[in-house]
Amino acid sequence: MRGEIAKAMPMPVALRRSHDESSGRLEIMALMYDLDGALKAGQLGLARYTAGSLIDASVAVWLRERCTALPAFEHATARARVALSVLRAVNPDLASRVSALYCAALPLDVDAVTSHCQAVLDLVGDLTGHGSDGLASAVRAWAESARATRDLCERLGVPVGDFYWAPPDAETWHSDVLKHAAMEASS
Amino acid sequence: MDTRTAIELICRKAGYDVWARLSASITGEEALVVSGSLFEGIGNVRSDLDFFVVSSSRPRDVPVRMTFAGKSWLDIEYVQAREVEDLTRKLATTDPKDIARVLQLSRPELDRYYRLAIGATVKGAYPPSVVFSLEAYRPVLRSWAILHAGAFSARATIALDSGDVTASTLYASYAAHLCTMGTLTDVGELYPSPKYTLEKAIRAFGSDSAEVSTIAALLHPSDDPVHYVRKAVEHIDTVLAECLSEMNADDLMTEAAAPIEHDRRLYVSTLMTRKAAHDVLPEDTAAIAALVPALGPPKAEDGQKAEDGQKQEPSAWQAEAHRLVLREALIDAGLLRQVNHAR
Repeated sequence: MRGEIAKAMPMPVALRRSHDESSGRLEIMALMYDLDGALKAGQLGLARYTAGSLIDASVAVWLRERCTALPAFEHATARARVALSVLRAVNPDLASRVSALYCAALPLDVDAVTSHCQAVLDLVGDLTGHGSDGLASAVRAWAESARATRDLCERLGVPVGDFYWAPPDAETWHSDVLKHAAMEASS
Repeated sequence: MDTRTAIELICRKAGYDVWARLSASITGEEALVVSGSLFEGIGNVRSDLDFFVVSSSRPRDVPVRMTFAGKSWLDIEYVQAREVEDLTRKLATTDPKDIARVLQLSRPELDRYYRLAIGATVKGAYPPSVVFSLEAYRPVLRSWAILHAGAFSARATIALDSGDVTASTLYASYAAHLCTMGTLTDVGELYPSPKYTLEKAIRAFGSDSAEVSTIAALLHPSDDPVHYVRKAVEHIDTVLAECLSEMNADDLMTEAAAPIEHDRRLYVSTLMTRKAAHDVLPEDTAAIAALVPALGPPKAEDGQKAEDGQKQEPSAWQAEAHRLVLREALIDAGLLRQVNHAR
């Protein structure tokens, strides 16, 4: 899909889109870490809040990959509200599924929160293409999108900084990230 | 947390000797600060460790670096010392009772201030002009959070009136997080991230306390969403009324800075594109129309009424907070000019 975008639109626009996609994937990865940590630590408040953020971030990625970029907002809830309006117009069934999760009764109870978070992860898997492989897939997806953006930068002659510090024995930053994804998948 | 413990924490988290690499990269004009939710004592095994490199010299090639470390990762953010000086000066000169000044602060600014203020400087030093004060920060965060809670609570009420229960629930839940963030400053909980709201309450009151049960029910729906929204906005309204009664909200005089030719929806979209520092949303159109006469009177929104058919109007306090937040957004975007107000 990224290759098709690059062929069909001016390169700077493709670069902006690729950068935004990579940022979206990074956001989802960070939230997956938050949710996993919260559930393992029994931090139900963090889990409840992060589940909502994950829905919002995944809808934004889904829309962006269908060429509907959302504006940046200071408050994430603002993006969630705008994204849901757009989603209703594009895919009402999906919007209904998202709405049901946003409005779900969510008492402060371990079983209820865990069950809700699993339903959210199922939705996130569908929206992002991660499937049921959660965190490891999120890490891999971010690595691929970041590499695509850097490749595009190099083709355009845009300088790319040393944004990831890999250990000295790692072949590349990308291979180090994939190593961590594999560790997550096997843990 | 003392410096030694901080360094030990770094060593435990890092997958290789990141500390040596990071430390060696710091020049004499820079300060290395370690911070984040782990420092706050509220993080978990997946929490990232945040480093700030505060530099008086030229910016680095990238604004942020990262590396995985064990079950999480490290973030290294490069910040110019001048930016930190400006931020500390801005906060130090913000009167928490001056609404216009409080609303000039953004959430990322409050977040960065707090992270730097609680962080441990593990190498180098800040310029002498950089002074953090959590005493000054606390009432500013309180006012800022409760005002924004009021704005989102009003949006929840308006969305409920138009029959959009999902938007209303989203707004009410977020408003409840902001409101609780504000009130928890009274018990010394100052971390400005809504995601840890309940964990801060548990730390302050104990997990089995009545306060935590009340706050947990306020933050997310546990029954019918419409009932939840009404209960949440009622609570926020009470807190907001008390907060606004202590603040200077006398001067609301504004005038349009330029003729606005678009219709209201296009206008809101245009503003969203131009200015990301404030969130201007569909529920804001009526308040914008009231602030900017050129837009004309608000039109009735399409859509169904709330299930019981009762029209929900924002309370006077919610409406005021809503207008105040939007007014600052419009001024910042250059679409509204302040009149007779010393800034």
